[in-house]
Amino acid sequence: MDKQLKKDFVSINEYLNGINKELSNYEGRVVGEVADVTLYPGRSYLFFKIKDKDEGNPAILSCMMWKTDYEVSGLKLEVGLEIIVSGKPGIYKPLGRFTFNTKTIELVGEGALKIQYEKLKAQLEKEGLFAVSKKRALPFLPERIGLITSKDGAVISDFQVNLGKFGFKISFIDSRVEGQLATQELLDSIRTLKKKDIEVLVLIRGGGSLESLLPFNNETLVREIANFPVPVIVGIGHEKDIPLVSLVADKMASTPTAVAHALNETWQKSIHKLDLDKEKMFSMFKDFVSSDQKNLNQYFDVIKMNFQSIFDNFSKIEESLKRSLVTIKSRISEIHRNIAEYPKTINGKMRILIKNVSEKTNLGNALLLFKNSFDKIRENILSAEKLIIKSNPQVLLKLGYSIVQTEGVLIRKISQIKKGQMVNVRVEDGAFDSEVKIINNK
Amino acid sequence: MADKKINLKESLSKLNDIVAWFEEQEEVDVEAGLEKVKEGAKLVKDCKIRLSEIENEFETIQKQVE
Repeated sequence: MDKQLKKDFVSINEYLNGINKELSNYEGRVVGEVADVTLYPGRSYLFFKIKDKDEGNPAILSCMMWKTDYEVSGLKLEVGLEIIVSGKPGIYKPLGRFTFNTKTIELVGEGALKIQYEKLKAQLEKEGLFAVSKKRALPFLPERIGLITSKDGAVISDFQVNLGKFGFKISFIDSRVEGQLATQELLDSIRTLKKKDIEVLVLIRGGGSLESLLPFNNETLVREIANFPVPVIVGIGHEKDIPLVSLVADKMASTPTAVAHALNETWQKSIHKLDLDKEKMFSMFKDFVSSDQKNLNQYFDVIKMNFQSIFDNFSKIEESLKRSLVTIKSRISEIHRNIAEYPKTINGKMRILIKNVSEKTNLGNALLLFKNSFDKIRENILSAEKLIIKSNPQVLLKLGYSIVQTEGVLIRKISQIKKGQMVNVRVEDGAFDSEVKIINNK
Repeated sequence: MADKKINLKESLSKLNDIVAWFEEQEEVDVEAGLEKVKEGAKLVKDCKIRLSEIENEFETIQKQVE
């Protein structure tokens, strides 16, 4: 393609890109009555048409809207609903169709807004989103606070001025708080803080009419607040109708100052009662000690009583011991007396013994005794000699006696012999054997 | 002395716990009570010092657009 041709024409894409660029300057807000809605379930966009009410001069605007933006709007498009669409026009190139790319939709007029507000309020109430039982208490001594509001205006400074210096750590996100675009920004801010380590979320803005507070009556936003992981305080000034975001919050206030006071509350209470706590501690400790003292006294009494009882018993035992000692003493005396008597007895016996010995050891007597004994011994010897001489068998044999033996045994009795038995007979000068013929008993 | 700055919240919470402890006691333990009083008195003093110097911290963060 040469330069000449290029100057004469452009491609459709190029042409429409140029047109769209120009059309983007026609950003606007257009009011109309919904004429047709195609929701395309499962797709990420939807189409609808709005038309002017003036039947004599009909005009239609075809609109395209992303589903995400539609959900944020909080509206349900129905034929006949009067709305304002905000966005930019353009040509949808694949179809070559003029389309109004809608960013936001809103109801027209206080009356319609009021109806929408009441309808949503009734529905959320029915779901129990505003129930008192769902309200969470603000944390005790909160430190980490998430704050969402506009950085411009008096609201943020009122909040900061009234917030006590208790070491709050505030994570702040600047957000629009008015107009249709505010809804999305507020949602983004809330979702961002949801991931932060905070103990309480604060959402504040100044007062306004139902229309100016429209984002704070947005269903998506209300549900986001209801599901926020930590307690939420909403401080929004309002004329008559309480914003739904305030109703769903764990605590609502109508000014930023009131919100700051709510956050200060537990800190101030704790600090105000610092001295009181100190006094209370000392006073209770004093009671402790006096109570302990009382107990100690009681213990002393018990110990005293027990000791007295020990002493009483001791006295009894002492008495008993004393009595025992007397008995032992008298017994000892008795033994002592006995021991004292012993030498006398021994002495007496000894004297008799010594006397006998003394008598026996007298020399004259001793000689006499000796002589008598000697004579007696001599007599005994002589009689023994005679007896020996008389008993000598040789002498007896000489006298004519004989000794009869059989098989070496002396015969003393008739019973020792039998008739015919051989016996040996010894006489003084020899012996002979003899046979028993006759036995004669005495 | 380079003491680490006390945490006001922790100290106040501890003090609250100590007062609650005294209120809950049924049996007297003077030794434990004395320890608590000493700790409590120190906490009161520390909190007052900390209160005179503590400031709020303010940090602006950017919202994440989904």
